[in-house]
Amino acid sequence: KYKKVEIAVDAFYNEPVQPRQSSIPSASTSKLNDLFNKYKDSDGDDITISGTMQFCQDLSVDPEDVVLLAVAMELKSPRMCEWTRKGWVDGWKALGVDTIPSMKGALLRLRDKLGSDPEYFQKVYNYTFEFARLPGQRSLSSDMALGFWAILLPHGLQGGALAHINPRSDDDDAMIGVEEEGWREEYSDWWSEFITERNIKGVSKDTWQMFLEFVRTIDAKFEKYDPTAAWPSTIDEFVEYAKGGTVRFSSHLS
Amino acid sequence: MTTAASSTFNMPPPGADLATTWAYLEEGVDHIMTKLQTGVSYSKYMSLYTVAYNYCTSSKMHGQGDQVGLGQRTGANLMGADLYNNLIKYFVNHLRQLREVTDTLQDEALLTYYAQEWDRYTTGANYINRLFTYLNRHWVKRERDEGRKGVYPVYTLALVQWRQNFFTHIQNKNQKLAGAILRLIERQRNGETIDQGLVKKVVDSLVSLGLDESDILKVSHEVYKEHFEQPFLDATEKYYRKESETFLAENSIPDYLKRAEERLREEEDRVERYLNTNTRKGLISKCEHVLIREHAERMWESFQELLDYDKDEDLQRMYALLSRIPEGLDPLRKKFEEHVKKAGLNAVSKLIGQNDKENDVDPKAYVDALLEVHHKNAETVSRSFRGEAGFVASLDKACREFVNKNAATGTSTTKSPELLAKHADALLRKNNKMAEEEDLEGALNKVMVLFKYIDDKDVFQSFYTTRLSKRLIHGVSASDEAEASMISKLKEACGFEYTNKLQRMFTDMSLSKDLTDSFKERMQQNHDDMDITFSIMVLGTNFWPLNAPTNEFVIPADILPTYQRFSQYYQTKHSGRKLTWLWNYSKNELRTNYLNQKYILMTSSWQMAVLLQYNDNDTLSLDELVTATNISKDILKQVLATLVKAKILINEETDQYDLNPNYKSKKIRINLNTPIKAEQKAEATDVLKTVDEDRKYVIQATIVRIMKARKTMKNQQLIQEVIAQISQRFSPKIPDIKKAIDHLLEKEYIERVDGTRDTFAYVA
Repeated sequence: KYKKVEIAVDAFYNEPVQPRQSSIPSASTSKLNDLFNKYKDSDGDDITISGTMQFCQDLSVDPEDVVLLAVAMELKSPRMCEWTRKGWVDGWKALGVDTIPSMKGALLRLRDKLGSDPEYFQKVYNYTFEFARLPGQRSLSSDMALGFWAILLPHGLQGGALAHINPRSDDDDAMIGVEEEGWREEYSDWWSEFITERNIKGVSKDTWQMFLEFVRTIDAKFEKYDPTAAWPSTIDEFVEYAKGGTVRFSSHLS
Repeated sequence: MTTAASSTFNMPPPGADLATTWAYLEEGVDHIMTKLQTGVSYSKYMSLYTVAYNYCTSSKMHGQGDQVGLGQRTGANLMGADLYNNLIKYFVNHLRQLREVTDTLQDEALLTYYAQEWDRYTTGANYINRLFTYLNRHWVKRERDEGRKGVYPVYTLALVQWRQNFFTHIQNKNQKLAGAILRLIERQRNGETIDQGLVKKVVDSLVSLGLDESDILKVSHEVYKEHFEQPFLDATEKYYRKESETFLAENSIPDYLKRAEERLREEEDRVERYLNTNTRKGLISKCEHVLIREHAERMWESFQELLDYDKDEDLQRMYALLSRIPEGLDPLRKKFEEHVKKAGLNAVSKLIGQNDKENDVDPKAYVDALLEVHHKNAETVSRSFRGEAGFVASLDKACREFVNKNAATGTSTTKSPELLAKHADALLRKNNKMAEEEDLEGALNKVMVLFKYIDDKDVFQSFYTTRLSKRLIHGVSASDEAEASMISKLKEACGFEYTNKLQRMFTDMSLSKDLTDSFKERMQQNHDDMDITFSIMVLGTNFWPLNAPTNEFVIPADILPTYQRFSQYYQTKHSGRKLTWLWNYSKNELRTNYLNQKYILMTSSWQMAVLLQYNDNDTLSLDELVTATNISKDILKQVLATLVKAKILINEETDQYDLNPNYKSKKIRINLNTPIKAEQKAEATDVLKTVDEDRKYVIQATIVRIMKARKTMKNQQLIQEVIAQISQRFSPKIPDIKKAIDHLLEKEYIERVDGTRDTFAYVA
């Protein structure tokens, strides 16, 4: 009996969203279109800044709330404060909501998922780079990047989406069952200090994406870091910088 | 006939019985064995042979004749056993008599007796063997074929009997025979003269006594090994261990090396003279162990001292000895490497010590110092270490270290290539003292010796290119052949790409010559007002390390027509090409007309522009000159300072410059064109900046080339491949390679393979 429950649970979590969608009440296209029209720019086809501010207010959500990054991905928002009709309608439909109150509920669910589901977090994280980048630019300005890291990292760390992953350790000596400590919240501050102090102007897509991997796999003492491995050199330099930091830090403790 | 009859008189008839037959045979056998020197007549020998034959073939009439049916044995098969047993009996008896004599003999006397009896016995046994050929061929062979042990051909039987009844008897008394040989050898080792032939005879007999039961034709060394070789090796070990310890306690290592070398040679000789060649390996390795291995530590310790005092012969000896034992040379190679490195570093430190100004190392002195250390130690390698590859590697490693990093370079990896390039420049200039081609060629070869060790070959390349461009532009190169020779040396060392630009520079030079000529021709046809001698160099921007002037410049009216005519001429010849006029590299010659004596002033463009102003004025202010020439004040001030110093101009009031009407000089041609200080200093920084930029480009290009070929590659492999491909030009640093990877990722030449963290793919 016990096994059956287990299998069911597994199935539940392993199943992609598809089958469950049927259970979600289908949202009304016309209602969503009406809502879109409500927020749409009067002299354009899309929702822009003013509309965005308005619907944030209606949804009682801070425009800088991390959940909006998830929403942006779901609604395929091409860049900040820009929402297309198609993305809006298809996105909300997929989430199964068509009214302000139900959208509020969807936002709660998305925020949870973003905080706790590593894969989903990564998708939103990677999407954020494309979404935040200025048109025609390959990299993200570091001001922007730091802003997004400031809202994404704490959320992921608190909810477990950024929980430490012990990288496939090659040596069998690694003690099984002993939890290795990973990224600490204050390291996020060090990272932003580092970016600012070194006057790093832009963050490349590769650095952005690899940074997430780095946060997930690095040990708290930066001991297992291999500077000759395929990390972007910005991260190499940060580790150098942070190692100085951990020394400072531990001497404070003693 | 009577003699013949009498000699066969006693001969038993065919079919005689064993007693009769053997009595006749035994007498003959004994005669051959003991009185061979008295001779045996042919007929006697033949009759003995016949009797033995007859007996062997007379089976039907004797003994077991009624068992004919059994296996169709021929006579010899049946009858042989009797003869064979009688022979054994004879040998046993014979040898018993011999051995009694030995009981009272010792050492040399024993050996002499043994050798003499051995000679006699084996000679006799040989005849006997032939006498019983028929027995050997039939009965013995048959018995052996059937696997019977202990039956041998008669000669072998004789040896077996000697061993059992004579040799063993002597040896059983405390290895009396082997002991005698060993004592004799020891006396020889102690320097006495011994009868080597005697030793050889006895030793040879021991080899003959070995017997391989399964194949008697095969040589077996069992007796030799057991009774002589092993005791001999043990004695050798003991002897040399004692000797070497005693010797070393009282003598120096160099003396010991000589002794050990001598001893090893002696032992080689010993094998040649009287031992079995199979003993060589064991003997020599034993000696090597006792004489070298057991004292290797002390030799290693003394190595440094020998190096310090250039004891070539001793070093050679030590090398030769230690090369005979496994891993004997490793510590020497390490010490040698250290030694060379230290010598190199000291040489440079000493040089720096002489100069107070650390930054002004004289390139020639520096290069000479490095070369001297290399030369000296390379000599040591070839003379004392026979050019052995391990020592060559040590030398190269040490040289690479001190050539790139020493007191003159500090932490900079670019200083050494810079100095070497400057030295090469000095060699290739007109004014250098090495007038003779051969010397110059030799000096260039020496530059290449150090070049081989330079890590940053690209830095050398940049400095060399810059210096070459100056030699060519100013026409101060010593000779085209020498230039070409140097380039071909560099090409040989680093490949076509490395010298491509250099060769292009020469092409530009010769094209420019043609261009000047054809322009002159054209001008002579079209204009008759050309009283300016004009020559031009048109140099490809990509091949020449030249910078366009940074300041504005008003082209003086006197040369403007020429400037325009050439520009036009060039445009019609090569439309679309852009000419940048490098006034800062140009030279001019001005003829003076305002003085009694006519002088020729050799000037830079700036100087020329200033002086031409005095065609219309005798005095000008700084500001007026700035306006007239458009040269920036800073540079103009330096230009004027040179002219004032040369007394062409007079500067009595501030910022006021007058033409000196009383100028005088001993020389007719006066060179005013000396480089401005700031320009010289800028050279090194400029060059290094170019090098840095080039490196970034080279690393990126290399990555792209590799990725294009491999499509996907892991990070570590990629880094290694990049290092491998670039390291002959310079040693790329890993962070620089990673930065290049970052850059290429961003530019989307490559990408990370999805789902992997450390694999890159080429983006077509």
